[in-house]
This record gives sequence, structure tokens and C-alpha cells, in this order.
Amino acid sequence: MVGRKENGSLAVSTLFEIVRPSYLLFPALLGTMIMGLVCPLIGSYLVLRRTVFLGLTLPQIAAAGVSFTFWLQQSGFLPQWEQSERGMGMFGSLLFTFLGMGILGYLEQRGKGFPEGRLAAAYAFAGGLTILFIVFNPAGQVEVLNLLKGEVIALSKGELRLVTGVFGFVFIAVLMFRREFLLTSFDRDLAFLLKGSQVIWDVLLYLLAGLIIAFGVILAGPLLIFGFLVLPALAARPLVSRMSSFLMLSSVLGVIMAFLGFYSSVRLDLPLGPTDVTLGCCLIFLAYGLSRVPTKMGAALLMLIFVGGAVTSCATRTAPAPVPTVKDIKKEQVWLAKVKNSTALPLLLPANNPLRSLAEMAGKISSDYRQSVMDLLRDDLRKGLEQNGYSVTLPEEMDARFPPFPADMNGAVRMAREGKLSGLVFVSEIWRWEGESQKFVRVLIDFKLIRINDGTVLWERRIQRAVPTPSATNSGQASTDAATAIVHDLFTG
Amino acid sequence: MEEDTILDVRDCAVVLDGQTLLSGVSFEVRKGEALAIIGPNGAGKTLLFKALLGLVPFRGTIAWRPGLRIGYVPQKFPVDKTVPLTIREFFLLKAKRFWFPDQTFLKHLSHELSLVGLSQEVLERPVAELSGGQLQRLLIGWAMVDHPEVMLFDEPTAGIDVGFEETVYHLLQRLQKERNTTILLISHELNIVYRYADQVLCLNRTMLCHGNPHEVLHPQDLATLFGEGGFYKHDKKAHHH
Repeated sequence: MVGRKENGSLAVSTLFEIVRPSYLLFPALLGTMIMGLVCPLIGSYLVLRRTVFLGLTLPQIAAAGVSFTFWLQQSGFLPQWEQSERGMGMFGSLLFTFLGMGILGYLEQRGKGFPEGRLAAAYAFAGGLTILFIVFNPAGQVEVLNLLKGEVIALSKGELRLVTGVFGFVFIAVLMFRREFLLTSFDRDLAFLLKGSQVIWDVLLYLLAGLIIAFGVILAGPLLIFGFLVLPALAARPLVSRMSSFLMLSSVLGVIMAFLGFYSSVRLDLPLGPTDVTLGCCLIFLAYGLSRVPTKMGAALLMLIFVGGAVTSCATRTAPAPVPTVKDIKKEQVWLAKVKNSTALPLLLPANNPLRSLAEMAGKISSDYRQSVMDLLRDDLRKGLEQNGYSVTLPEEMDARFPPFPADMNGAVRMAREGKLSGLVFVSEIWRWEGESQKFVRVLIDFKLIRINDGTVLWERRIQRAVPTPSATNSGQASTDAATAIVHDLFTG
Repeated sequence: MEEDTILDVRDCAVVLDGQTLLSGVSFEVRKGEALAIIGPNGAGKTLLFKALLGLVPFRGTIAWRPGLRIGYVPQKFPVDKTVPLTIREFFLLKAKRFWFPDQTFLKHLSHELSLVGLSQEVLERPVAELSGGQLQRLLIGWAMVDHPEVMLFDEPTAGIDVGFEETVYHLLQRLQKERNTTILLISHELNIVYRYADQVLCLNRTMLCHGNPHEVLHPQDLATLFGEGGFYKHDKKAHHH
């Protein structure tokens, strides 16, 4: 196949690229790792206290707070929060988390029912409320759902400072009072005898937990926060016999989980929360398997070696090849087919897209025509091919009835032959194009260069990732920037 | 409170969920004394200890001399088998510095462990791996490591071998003599009470007797206390221990 080349070192550089401060998603990576460092410290105490379910219930209560605040705003009970949607979500998240903790604490004091029952009921109640508030607020459904998904990948530098401040404060507090937290988590009666009333330490621990949950839920989503709280601690537990090692290993595993999850998410275009949680569960299985190794230290080392191996194997994946050169294709004519949209969304650009206005002024499009992502991508592809010396022709120049070609080789070749084309056809098919924020667009697109007469695929490439669009100020510009970046990728490899 | 009195209990009662589980308990304990508390199962002995320690709400007056260090050896200590805590860390919970302990404390710890028959080698073992008897030794060692002025033992020899029973009671005597430690002890064994206790308190939901064991423990009192007629007929709700 033309253009297929091995380039391991290029892929390794991709791994190290994400840890460079200049990398666009570096704030998101750093934020996730900070959460991965601090959350397991609090989670370890929840595990010791056998109140793991609290780590699930509180994030759900925080999520209910987010949807409640948006519903209030939509209903006109709250003023529009011009500065940031996340800021408003944080307010609701904090309010509900501390309110929920207060109610759960009161019920605990009353001693009615059993703790698991109370937490389970609170979880179900909060889950129900979250959905109901979203349903009440149809205008903001997408925004609220996006916030609750917790796209930590869109973390800005300002939000990173907030994460550092809040989580740093919690980290220092946990370090300062780790003995008191340990004592009250291990045995309350003994703790009482040594230090007197433990209420203050309970309240402080739960306040710190509430703080990271309330902020974490809005920045990373309930699932990821629950995962960070509990999974590293559960994975560390079978590997250590000392409390100090338990706390340390929990945090280390949290950071590893955060880094590996982030890397996989960016590399494979997977949502971060589920990816991290799945990795965390794998770490638990691995830890229990390794706990059979005779020495705990040996098991912990093996685990780190395994994780290191996983990172390395990811990094040494073969790098994608760029579009073949003109020399490679022996100067054959290239038909650039219309880009096929298989997303079930129209992918039309907003009407106020400045590019559209320019095109209208130039008389290139009529005023009732709306430009689409497919048009953008095809324009950029054409420019790219021509700049690289290709002889490019559009199929509709020969016959206006030509529809977009599918990326499926057989379908594309059949269509080209029916239209009596010869030479090469360049096909593109969009499976996903989601501009969830102005900072990046999630895409999944297949590109192929096919020889029509024998159906040979000379080159193919799948782009599946979050494409950063840092300078975009609206969704139309984000799509434009993303299309340019994707085409640039195709020609540079 | 008199000068050598370290505990003064007046008309103490414990009511939980509307049920009176203990009432009419009044006694004093002087420094260096050994007080044994006896009574049938469900009589409220452990509950009285918990009230003395402030672990359960109570009515009446419980006045300790201010500033006392108190050691407590519970009857049962359920250890989560998966808690990653070594014996060394368990003791360090009582040290001034948990994460970076000083050598003086560690040397002292080795000495206290030897008193309860545990070697220094057990320090790195997880608490959850100890047998019942070893755990009981550990709890005694833990209670006495910071030389408390008062120690409360709730059936300290329950679940341990006969040989170690003697060790425990000799240890109690030694603590009394060498450290002038005041001992409050719950026990079912009357010979222990006669041998080691200066005072005895008979309990069966209320105080039945209090004084020198040789003076107050008459056969008929014991029959009343431990005999069929003396047992409190408690239902499931009233069952405390």
C-alpha cells in the first residue's frame, strides 16, 4: 500500500507531547492528575470507614444541584450568569453537596435506619431529581448534560488555578490531620478515649470530601470523581499492610489512573470519565491478582512495571502515514468526492459565519444556502491536494448529479464506475463531528484514496480525536479551525 | 471529692431508646485501688464502663479527677481483617508523632510489649493477622503504653489461654504496685476478685452491693446475684452486650 510507513519515534513523541506545558490540553491533564492525587486520600478514609457509598451518593447530590441551578435560571428565578456556566453549576453543586451532607449527618445523629439504606435512598433521590430538573429545562438540556458529563478536557488555565487552589487546600488539610482522620476512621471508641469527641474530625473530613466533590463534579463529572475517590484506594488495599503505604499507594495509583486515562482518552477519542473508571477497575483486578505475589513490595513493583509497560506499548503504536505524494500515485487524476455526512446531524454552520458572508459577497453562494462542515472540509482538502501538486477535479463538474461518495471501498468504486470516472477518487466520510465547546471538536472521519479501475485502496486514514480549536470564538469558527487542522494532519502525517 | 478519690459516681443511670438499662449506681474509687465489678450477663457492667468513659449518655454524676490518663481494654475489639494497619502503627496512634516516630517511644514500646508477652518481631505484622489471644495482649499493651493513672479492664482474660490468665493478673498487681495504677476490672471469676480486688461492686441493672469483697460477698448475696432468681429476665430489645 502506498504511503504506509513505520514511525515509532513519532508516536512516542505524541505521548510526551501531552506532558509539555505548551500542549493545548495540558491544563486538563494537570487538573485530572491533581484530582487523581487528592481524591484517593479522602477516598481511603471512606474505604476505612466502610462508607464507600458516600463517595457515590455525594457526587450524585452535587449533580442534582447543577441541574437544579440551571432549571432555576431557565425559569427566571435566578439571574443570567454571564461569566461562566460552570461558575453557576459550581454554585449549585456546592449548595446541594453541603445541604445533602447536613441532612445525612442529621439522620446519622438521630440514628434512624441503617447507613447504607440512607445513602442508597439519597442516591436514588438525587439521581431522580437530576433527571427531573433536566426534563423541566428543555432549553438548557444539552448544556446541563454536557456539564454533568464533566468534560475535564476543556479545563481552562483559570479553572486549573481553581482546581489547584481547592484540591491543594484539601491535600494540605488531609496531610496535617491525617492521624486524627485515621484514628477516627479506624475505631471511634478508641479515638474518643485518646482525643475526646470526634465530631470535629468527622465534620472536617466530610467538609473536605464535600469540597472536592462539589468542585470535582462540575469540572470532571460525578462518575470520574467517584472513580478517583474509591477505585485507587480499593486497588491499593490488597497490596499493602501499612497505613502509610496505603495512603501513598492510593494517591500514586490515582495519578497513574488519571494519566493513563487521559492519554487513552485523547489518543483513542474516548470519553475521559468512563475510560478512567474502566482503567481503575482494571487496576483493582490487577492488584488482587498481584496480591498473591509473596511480598507486598514485589506486588507493588510488578504493578508499576505493568502500568509502565502499558504506557510504553501505547506509545509505540505505528504512526499514521500522510497522503501519498504525486510521485507515489504517478500523477494520476484525482476526483475529490463530496464529503459524506453519516452523523445523522445536518452539520450546518451558523448563519452568522463570516466565511459564508464573504462567499455571499463574492457571489459564490446564494443567500438561502447554508454552508456545512462537509463543504469546509472539502474546500480544505482541495487546497491541500492542489498545494501538493495533485491534479484535482470535482465529480460534479463532469455530472452535477454526483452524490457524496461513501468511504466504503466497494460503494465508492461502484459509484465512480457508474459515473464513468477513471483514475483515483478521494473519498471522505464523517461519522462524528461534535463541537461540545469552542475549545475542541470531537471528530471521527474516514479518508481514502482509491484507484477506480482495480479498486485498490492506495491510502487510508481514520481521524478520531478531539481537535483543539483554541482561538475559536464561536462554534462555526471552531468547525472551520478543526477542518483546517485535520487536513493539515492528513498531509503531515 | 476527697483528696485521694479519683472517681466519684453518684446515682448514675443509663437510659437508651427509652429503656432504663442501668440505675442507682453510686461508688467512689481511690487512687491505687482495684475495683472489681461483677454481675451476670446483661447486668450492665460494660455499659457502666462505657458511661464512665463517656461513650454513652448517662444521668447522674460521674466525676473523674481532672487531667487523668485513662487506659481501656475492651471486651471485644472487632478488627476489620482487611485494614492495612501494622501493630507498630496501631501503637503509634498514641505517640506524639505518628508518621515520623522518635526512637525513645519505640524503645519504650518494646518494653511494654514484653510485659504482655509480645516480642518486638510482631511490630511489623498487620493487626488483622493476630489471633484472639494475641489481640487481647495487644489491647492490654496498647492501654498501658502511656502509663495511665487508671485502667479499665473489661474481662481482660476472655478468650485467652489459662497460662496467660495468670500473666494478666500478675500484670495487674504489678501495675498497681509499681505504677500505683488504679484498676477497674470486670470479671466473672470470683477467685480473681477475692485475690486482687480491694473493692467489689455487684451489679444487676442496679447496684446490689459495694465494699470489701470479703465483707460484702456473702453466699446468699452471690446466689441472689448469679442464681436463677437473681438473673434479669431480659428480652431481645433489652439485650445490650
